[in-house]
Amino acid sequence: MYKTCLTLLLLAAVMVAGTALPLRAEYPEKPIVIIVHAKPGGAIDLTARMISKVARNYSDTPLVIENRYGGSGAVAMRALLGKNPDGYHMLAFPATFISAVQVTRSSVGMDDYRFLACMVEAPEALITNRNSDVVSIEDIIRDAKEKNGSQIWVGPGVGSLDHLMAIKTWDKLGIKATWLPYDGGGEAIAALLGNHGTVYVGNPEDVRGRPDLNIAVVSAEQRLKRYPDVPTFLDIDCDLPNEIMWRGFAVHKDTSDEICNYLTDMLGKVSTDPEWVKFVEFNSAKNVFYDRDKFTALVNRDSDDAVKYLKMANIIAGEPDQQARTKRMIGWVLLPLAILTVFVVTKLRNKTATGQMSIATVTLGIALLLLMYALSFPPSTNGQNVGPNTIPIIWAIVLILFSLMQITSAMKNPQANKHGRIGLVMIISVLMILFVTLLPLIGFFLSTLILLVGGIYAMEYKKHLTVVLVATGMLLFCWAIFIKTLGLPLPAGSLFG
Amino acid sequence: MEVFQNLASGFATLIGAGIADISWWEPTLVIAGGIVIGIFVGVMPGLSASTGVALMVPFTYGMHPLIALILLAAVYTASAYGGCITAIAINTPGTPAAVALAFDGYTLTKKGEPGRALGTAVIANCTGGIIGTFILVLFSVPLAKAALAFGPPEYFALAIFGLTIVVSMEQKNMLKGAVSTVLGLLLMTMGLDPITGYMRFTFGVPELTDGIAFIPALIGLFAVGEVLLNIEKFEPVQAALQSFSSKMPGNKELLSLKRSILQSSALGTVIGVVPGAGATIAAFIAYNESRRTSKTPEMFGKGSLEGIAAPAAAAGGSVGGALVPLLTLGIPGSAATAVLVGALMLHGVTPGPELFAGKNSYLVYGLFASLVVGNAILLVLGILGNRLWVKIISAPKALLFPIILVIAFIGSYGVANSMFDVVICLVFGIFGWILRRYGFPTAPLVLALILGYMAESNFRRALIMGDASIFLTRPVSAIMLVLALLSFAMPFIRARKQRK
Repeated sequence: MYKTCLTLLLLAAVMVAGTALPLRAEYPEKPIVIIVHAKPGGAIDLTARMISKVARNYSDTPLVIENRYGGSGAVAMRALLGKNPDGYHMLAFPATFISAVQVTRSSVGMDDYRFLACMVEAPEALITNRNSDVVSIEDIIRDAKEKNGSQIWVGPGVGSLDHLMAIKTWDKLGIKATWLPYDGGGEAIAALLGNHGTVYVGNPEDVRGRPDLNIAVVSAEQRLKRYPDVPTFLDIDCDLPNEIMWRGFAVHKDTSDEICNYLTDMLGKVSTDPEWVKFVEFNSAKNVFYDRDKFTALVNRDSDDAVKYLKMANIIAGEPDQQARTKRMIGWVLLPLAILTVFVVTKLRNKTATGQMSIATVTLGIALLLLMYALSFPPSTNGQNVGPNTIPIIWAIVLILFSLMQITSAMKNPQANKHGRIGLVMIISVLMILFVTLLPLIGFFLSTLILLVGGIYAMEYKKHLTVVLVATGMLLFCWAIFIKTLGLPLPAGSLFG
Repeated sequence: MEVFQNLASGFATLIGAGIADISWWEPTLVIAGGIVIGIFVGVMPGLSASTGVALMVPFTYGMHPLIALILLAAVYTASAYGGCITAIAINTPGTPAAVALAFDGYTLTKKGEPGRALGTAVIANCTGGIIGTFILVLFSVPLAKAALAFGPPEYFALAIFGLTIVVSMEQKNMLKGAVSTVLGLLLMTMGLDPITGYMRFTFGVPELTDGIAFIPALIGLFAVGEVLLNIEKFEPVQAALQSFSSKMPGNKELLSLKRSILQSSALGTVIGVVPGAGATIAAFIAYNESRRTSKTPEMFGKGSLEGIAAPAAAAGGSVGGALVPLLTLGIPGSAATAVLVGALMLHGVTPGPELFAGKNSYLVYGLFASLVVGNAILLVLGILGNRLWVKIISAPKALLFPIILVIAFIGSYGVANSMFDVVICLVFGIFGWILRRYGFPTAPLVLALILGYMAESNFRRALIMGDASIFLTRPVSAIMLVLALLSFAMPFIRARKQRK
């Protein structure tokens, strides 16, 4: 019985280790992963997926999409740098990354990457609602002057490419307006259609299928073929000829020339494929191919611009000053102090510290810490009364009040602590912590095996054959469903290379 | 009655009439396949409807646009139901919208009657789905207009209205509920400030830039917390003795739910129309309204069938609702419909008002018909599936619990392919166990995590648009804030009356 168990477990371990061991051969000998910072279905995700589809015509190596979203792209940018520079990971690199790095004060910089090729570009455009009083660019300028700063421009995100475009336009046209950021382009377009804003900053592709939207002006050297009536900024004597949204690809900066050439060549072939050309044109974008030098130059130009205009809009915050740091320090002192005080008071009044009281004490401590942090935030930067600190301060104070009430109430009517099988819970918790710690090291299969088998035996289950069957079945299920079918990049374990 | 003619032509499309490259059996088979995949997607915590639809997109490359569209819509429809199954069976909502189902559904399972709960849920969900489709067909244009009137002040008012539900949800231990809620609201302010881009409470951790990931926290609080809570009370001998019945609810019982189901389906569809608000808020509001108007409100939280039917019907209805802005304005009403937009574009079809008139109009009516057929298939498969789910939860707890933990962690990882989310899931799991051990409810915490960001970002946006009076001078926002005040005060007033 035990022998069968052991053999099967060993077999499973060998199988898992076997698939994880790398074999050296000519590049590329395994799928190349494209890391995408947007959720599946986003514009950049679809671009990457189309590239992956078309590239199959030119290479036997499949391109696989891996979505790692978060932090306006910071997570994806960092994910690429965490990989070996062996050409098996590429980053889909949109223009928004340039300002995102600045806004999130990321430690990642543009010189951490080698830029392979820029594949798509689309001009920036100002878009208005046909069912409003402000439709043409002349309307926008007149209305902005009448409203003197309270005209509302909507678009995705703060410090985004479109936000920068808005700031540049205000600067060049000499008008004042207010930026109202939404979480995504769709929401912002809905706001424009509902007349909650006057101008939407986006690309010509945003008006397709939405007859109520009108392109007021577009940033291009010549009028667009598809929209010959739409003026360019040059037509209205405004010096914004070349503001573009682009999408390209980059790799880790230490990647060899040989690999970079291979990838750039492959992307070059894709860019002339009829299916790809059709896809890009259908999205009202322009199919381009900027090689490594030209793309790098574009990135550098946009980086310089981003810093300049983000500073103009007061978006790049400095390091916290001395006063702010002191407030944060006080917060870290208050957290343990609050917890200690409550327990001393309880002891002095000869009461027992119940679980309910302890929880309220911890929430009190957390609220105090976050309150001191919130007090150190800079007040609003855009002239509003309500800034990034307002809401956190309100919630923190309310939480402090509720926690104190809960502490007093629990002190008055203490409810005895219930005692269950805390030991078993502790064992399972340790197993879970072990799982989370080991997962990146020994990979998904081994750590899952430990959690599963450990958990089952800890709960006094004695039928060994069933345990083996369940464990093997579960691992096979995970492999078939999550890895093979859904393509989840579950960690294979860094110890196995 | 042009609408019904069009719908009839939609059904004709579904048997391949008028389309050369589709055989008569193909669409129905594709819908059935999509429903099965969707149920699975919903059952897995972490795989939300949008992820499920997105994962299917590459499979649709070579398909006819109609087949691709109905496949994705079927996955979307069924994943709304799949989330209900795990909420009822193991107190682990597979989708955020199913959180409200866990209150009464899981209570019934603990009483040994998961069959009644699951049966009610699938019937309510499919009814909701079909009612939602008809509302979509008949009223999409006026509804879309109404949705556009929703600006920042109205979103803020809706979020506040949603938050007042906590008061009636947690009447017994109001103070603990309040601590949970405000803690959730405070935690939700972590990350990049939506208006100025300032980094709040990130403590130098890059993964916190977007704040605490909501889905892993939800999986932790519910799935992991529940397993730990059960392990604490675990008795190997006793556990083996508990039996679960797969008996369905009786016809009389079902008929008594019709008001709750109809009301919740309509609520779910209408709230689902508002872009971004979606299924989750709809489910909570439907649950609350159903209790408010119920003849037996005291049964809510103790295994009330109405309490199961309401959120399930709302979740079903919200699918049709979310398609309204997509089809009439070309704006996705939910994360999953956002993926649908992308998929349609890949097939060279632009969603939006022009879709109804142009040569692609057969796609819209085919889609409507496929939603009706899809819900019918879902009903059959759901009822058949109940036995399977009951069988799974009847497995020995010692085997079931570790498997749930593994799936919870994979689900958290799968949300953004991030180890950090697995850690979030674990931390919130242990935290959720401690909270519930001492009677602090976790549902208000989840509600606050869902609504906190929506409340703050729209409050701040509204104040960019005008001064504070904007909340009261705009009628929709003013009415909703008054409703919120009533919903907040009613439980107190009622409690005082009862004391007299």
